[in-house]
Order: sequence, then C-alpha cells, then structure tokens
Amino acid sequence: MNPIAKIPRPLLLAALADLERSHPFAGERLGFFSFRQSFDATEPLLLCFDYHSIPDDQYIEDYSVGGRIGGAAIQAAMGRAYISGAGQLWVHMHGRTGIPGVSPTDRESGPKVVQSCANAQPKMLHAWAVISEHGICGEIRSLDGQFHPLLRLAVVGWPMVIPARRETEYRAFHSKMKDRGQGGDRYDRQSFLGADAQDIIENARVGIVGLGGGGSQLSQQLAHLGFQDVVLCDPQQIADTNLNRLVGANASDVRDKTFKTHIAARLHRGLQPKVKIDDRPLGWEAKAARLRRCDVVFGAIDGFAARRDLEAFCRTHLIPLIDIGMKVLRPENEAPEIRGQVILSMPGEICMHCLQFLTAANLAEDVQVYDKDPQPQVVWPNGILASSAIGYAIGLLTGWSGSSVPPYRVDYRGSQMTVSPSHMAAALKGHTCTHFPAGQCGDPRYQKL
Amino acid sequence: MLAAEQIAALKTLYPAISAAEEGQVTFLRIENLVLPDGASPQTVTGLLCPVLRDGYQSRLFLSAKVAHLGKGTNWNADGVLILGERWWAVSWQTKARQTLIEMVLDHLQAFRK
Repeated sequence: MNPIAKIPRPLLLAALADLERSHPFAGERLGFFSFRQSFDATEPLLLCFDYHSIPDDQYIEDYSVGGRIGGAAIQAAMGRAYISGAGQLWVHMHGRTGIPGVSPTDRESGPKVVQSCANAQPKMLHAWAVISEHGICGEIRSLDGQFHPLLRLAVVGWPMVIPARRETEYRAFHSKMKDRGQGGDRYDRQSFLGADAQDIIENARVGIVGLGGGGSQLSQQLAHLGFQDVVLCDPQQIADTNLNRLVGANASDVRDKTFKTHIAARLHRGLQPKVKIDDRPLGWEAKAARLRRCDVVFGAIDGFAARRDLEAFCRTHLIPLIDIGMKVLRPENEAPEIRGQVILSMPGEICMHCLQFLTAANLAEDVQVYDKDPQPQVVWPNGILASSAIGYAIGLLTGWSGSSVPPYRVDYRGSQMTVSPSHMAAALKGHTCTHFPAGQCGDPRYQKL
Repeated sequence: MLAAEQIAALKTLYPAISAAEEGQVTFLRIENLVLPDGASPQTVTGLLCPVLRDGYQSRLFLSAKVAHLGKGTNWNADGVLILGERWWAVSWQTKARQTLIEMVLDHLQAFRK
C-alpha cells in the first residue's frame, strides 16, 4: 500500500498556522484532519477536507513528550469518525518546511490514537503523521488493521506539491540524459523554472482527455518539457479531416486508422524513450482508475456534458483540471470569429458552473441536439490554447512565477489575437463554489433510504 | 430534499434504494430494477436523477446498455461516469412535477414494446 494524503493548500496553511501557535505548557500542538478516502488497494487517496484544532484545555501536562492530548480530544475525533464517516489523520509538526521525520514517541503514540479512531469507524482508513508544507511522514492503518508507511503528500493549490514517485529511477535517468546531451543538459534553457523544476516535471503524473487538435498539442509540449508519466484518454482513430490540426499525425496514420492515443504516444516516446505512458485507446471513463492517480488533468474534449462529468470526477479526487476549448462563430453577413477559453478548475475554488461556462441551457443543447454538423476547427487557436494550458500547469507544478494565482479563466479572441482574463472570473473573485462542497469528495457514500 | 412520502412510495416497488450526492445533485440508486419484457438483461441497477439534467426533467441511468424492444433507442448517455460508476441512459423526456415513482414508471416506458 502506497497511500497519498491530499490536502488543499488553504487547509494545510490553516492547519500549520494552528500547529505553530504556542501553548501554555505543551511544546507541540496537535490536530486532526478529516478526510474522505478514494480507495484502491495499492494507492489509496486520503482526501482531506477539514481541520480540527484541539482546544488548549484538552492537552495533558506531560513534559516527557512534546505534546500530549487527553481523552476528550480523542473522543471528539472518534465522534467525527463515527458520525460523519470521515477518516481521521492525527497530525503535528516538527518544523514548517522540509521533509519531516518522526520520533520514537510519535511511533509509539500515533498508532494508539489511530486505533481509537478505527474502533469508532472501522470502515475507514485512519492515519497519524508529522507534516510540513512540503512533506509528510507517518503511518496509515489499513482496514485489516495493519499499519503502513504514509510518506507521500500532495498539496492541491497554487503552487502544488506533488508526491514523490520512483525518485531514484528518475534521478538516474535524468543524469543519463545530462550525459547524452551535446553542450549540456537538455533542459538548461528551462532551468529558470526553478532548481527542482525538472525533478517535479519528471515526477509528475498528468492525464490528457481528448487527443484531437488541442490534446495533441498538449501532449507534444509535455513531451518536450520532459514529463515521464502520462495517461492518454481517447477512444478514436484518426480520420483524414483531423490532419489539418492533429500534431504528430501523418497521412499514413489515416490509411492505417491509427488511434489518436498511439500517435501522441509515438511522439512522446520519440522525445522521452523511458516515458511511462498509458496509451490504451479508451475514453477517460474507462480509465478512471488510472486518471484518479494523476496530479493534473487536461481536458481537451468537445461538448459541455463531457466537461461537466470530467470536472465532477476531478473534483471528487481533488485533481486540478485544465480545460481548453474553441469554437468558430459564423454570424450571417459578418466575418467569422474564433472564441476559445482556458479554464483552471481548482478543487475548492470556482468551477465551470460558477463561471457559467456550464449552464442548464448549453448542457441540454449539447445532449439533445442530434446530427450536429462537424464544428470548424483550425490548428493555430488550438496551439495558443494548449500553450496557455501548459503555462497554467507548469506554474501550478513548479511555482516558477511566484505564488500569485492567475485568473481561473482566460478567453481567446481570434480576430484580435488576444488572450485576456475573463470578466466572469474577475467578478467571481472571492466567491465560494457551492457546486462541489469540501466534504463531497472521495468514494461515493450511498445512504440507505 | 427528497420528500419522505415519495421515497416510501417508491420503496413499495423497489425496496433497496439508496441516495448519494454529486455536483449538488442527489441521485437515487435503485437495486434490482426490473425492465419490461424483452429487455436483456432484464434486471439492472438504476440511478435516478430526479431533477433537470441535460434538458430532461429527470433521467434514469442503467448499469448496462440493455437490448430491448421499446422506443428509447437513442443512448445519448453512453457509459458516463457518475458517482464512480459507468451508466447508460436513453433519450427520454418525462413530464414536469412528477413524483419519484411516476418518474421511474415513465422512464420504463422507453423500454416497453
């Protein structure tokens, strides 16, 4: 079992601020996260959605340890686990930054608190850990009562912290790439992204849903940047009418009816021979088990209903979704216009419904109107939108541009050659999304009626 | 909020019902939903969306794309992922302001010869 604790950045910062406060006598503060689980026997996700500070008077005066909590605090956690069905992650910190370690006292007391929570709610995973802004170190109790290491943290927000994966293997590969390059590291020119940016890029797992005009350009840029773990979702084979915009495709692919995922994978492998790539030609719904493990997902699909479903899936698993799309408008007696958009749907922040990009009217039209004419499409707006989406992703993953969050939506206007912040996104600044409440994540929780 | 009396009425026909929420919508899961004669498989799990969705007053998703003899032949929800599972639904408009049991029975007409 290789679990990942996923914590939205605002929630983590609130927790760390609480844990940093001094206590009248205790040297360390402790707290609990409530989480929902997205269960999978090998890589369960602990999706944290709330933090619970422990009142001063629920600490016990014990100078032999950094901090000790009494029965009332543990009973409160047990109550939350029992009533709301939420898993409990018992935390404290040894320092705000760096990768934390644990003490012998932590190893002794952590499992006892976790076992109490499991007694109250045995159907959920529970865990204890030392956390920081950058890492986590602790243990998780699986449903069979065994304890396993909890060493991977994902911080969901701007910028992200992604969990370490196959670190040794990637470092070895990266050093080989350095040796092979002529005149230095292949990635020298993008080193301004940060000292650890290439490690982050090589460690990240990203998904692309839709490998048409937009998705193929996303895929190409991810390959150039050095991404090594990619999930590609598209069930379609290429057609002749795709060749005007599908990057990486050639005429023989049409003859051979090559799947779009295979074209993207071929291009990626040409640049990154060791890439771990899932290019099975299936829709994203059939690859949900793989997609749930991604750090970031790109949506490059047609239609509003498909976007709604993909956004709901990503919100459920606390995955940032970067959606791109374009449309050619052809008003009568006027020149055509190209409209496009890039939307960053960040869990906990405004969504595509909030932005009124998804409405009852356009969802109805999308599903109920049959025999739609093929929509006009052309290569360069796809390139502009895909490039912007990649810009969002690299900012999100590396934080190269600092901590200021870009607009959650930008709009492209072809006739003016402009990409501008969306007025709607600006108007919604500070708005709380009601479509995806914080606790509504993880595996579905059916309630018997 | 789902009215208790409507749920009670629905349970007279389908005793195993549960509810879960996704994207501000409460879906009702109906186990052992028996479709009209001629459907294959005839017993499936249903997922009722009792509010406006995709322009339909309500939608009944099925756990399988069944073969059947009815008029509902346009499977315009084809393996969509809702609440972590894949579902199929035919294009079938129901009347507004129906009770839960009326909705389900109306949707089943789509599969009746």
